[in-house]
Amino acid sequence: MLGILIKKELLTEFRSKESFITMSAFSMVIIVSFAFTFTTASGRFAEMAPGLFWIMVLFTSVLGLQRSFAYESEFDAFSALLSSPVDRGKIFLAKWISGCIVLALIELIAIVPFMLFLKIDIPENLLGGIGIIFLGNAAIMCLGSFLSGLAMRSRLSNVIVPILLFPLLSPVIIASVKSTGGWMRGISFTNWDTWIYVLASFIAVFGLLGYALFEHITEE
Amino acid sequence: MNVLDVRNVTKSFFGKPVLDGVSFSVSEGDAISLAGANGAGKTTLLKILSGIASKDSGEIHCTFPTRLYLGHAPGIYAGLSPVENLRLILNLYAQELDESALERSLSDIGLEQHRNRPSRVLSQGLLQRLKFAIASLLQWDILLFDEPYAALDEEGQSLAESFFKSWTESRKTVICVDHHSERALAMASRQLVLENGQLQEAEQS
Repeated sequence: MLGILIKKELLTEFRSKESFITMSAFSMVIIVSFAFTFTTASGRFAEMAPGLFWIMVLFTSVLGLQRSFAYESEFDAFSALLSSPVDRGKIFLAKWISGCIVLALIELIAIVPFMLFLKIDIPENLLGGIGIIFLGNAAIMCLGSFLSGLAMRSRLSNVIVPILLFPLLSPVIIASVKSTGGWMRGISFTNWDTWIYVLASFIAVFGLLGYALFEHITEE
Repeated sequence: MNVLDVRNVTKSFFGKPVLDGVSFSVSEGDAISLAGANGAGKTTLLKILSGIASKDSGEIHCTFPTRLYLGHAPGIYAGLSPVENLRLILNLYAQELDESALERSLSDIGLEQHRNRPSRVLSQGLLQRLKFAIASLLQWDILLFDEPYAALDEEGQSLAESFFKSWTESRKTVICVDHHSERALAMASRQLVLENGQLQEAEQS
């Protein structure tokens, strides 16, 4: 059933391409703005790059979350989904996983211009970077899907999600920036592994909360 | 044998009681028309029975495993075509997809020409017809249908009546909200009326 739900999420997204186009365009605008704002030497860019990258990811992900839940409310498809005999925890998991997939695709598109415009050299140990981005994406989308489900029935859902999401994601952004910085500078993993544990703990706590509580928070 | 027992269900919105101790039972094969003025709580009651909305208090016992709720809104994904939506709904209910039955149901409701168009571009009437395709394709035990005749033209209404006739003849259990009292009485074996948060059984003439 989880596979069917994820397929549904991706099909609705890639059929309209609304999130994809909006998120891609938005991330490009941010990158170009950064490139023209900071006129420092390439070495300084590398120092700022983790913060700039995760700011881009954070704002881009909010757009994706809003569209993902807008598809559900357009024809009140969410009510039909909730009335079907589907485990609501799996609806949360599908939203979370598909959100991560879409966000990863946007990052894949954005990463090349990000590095080119900001004159950043490709760091060694690419797998380490992919792992950090995977954990950061998972943490952002986990809390984002949970809060979007919570705000779904509210008329102010478009306002409530960013208001709640940004402060609650502070530890995720700090941990992601710190671990990305450590990785980019080639610092030994043991010096920044705490931030990875912060990300993993955040995912575990909010993943379990989302799975267990999604049934209750989506009820009218 | 009662397949659905509703006991003292209450529901309030912002302190205003909408359902105030609603109790009724449904037997297998009952075709129930749920009547009441606008804002009486008919949709709320259907949503509680379908599990979308929570009740404040009371008990609901349903022996039927598969409840199909068709609400006011189309309840489908606007970006997907009618065929994709029907396939998805069958998957969500973990039911086997019979392609010929799917094609037949689209043809029955006059949607074969629109089968691959995004549902977003369909008219309200066509979207309403699509609900009948969903109800005819799925194997359900109890159907909770909110205003099944809304937005339908004359042909669509005749089509809807024929669906209800076939369901009542095959003793399927249906609860539907319909504001057209004569039509509702003709279709239903029982009529329940919601008034001031209370449910009363109307006399069948």
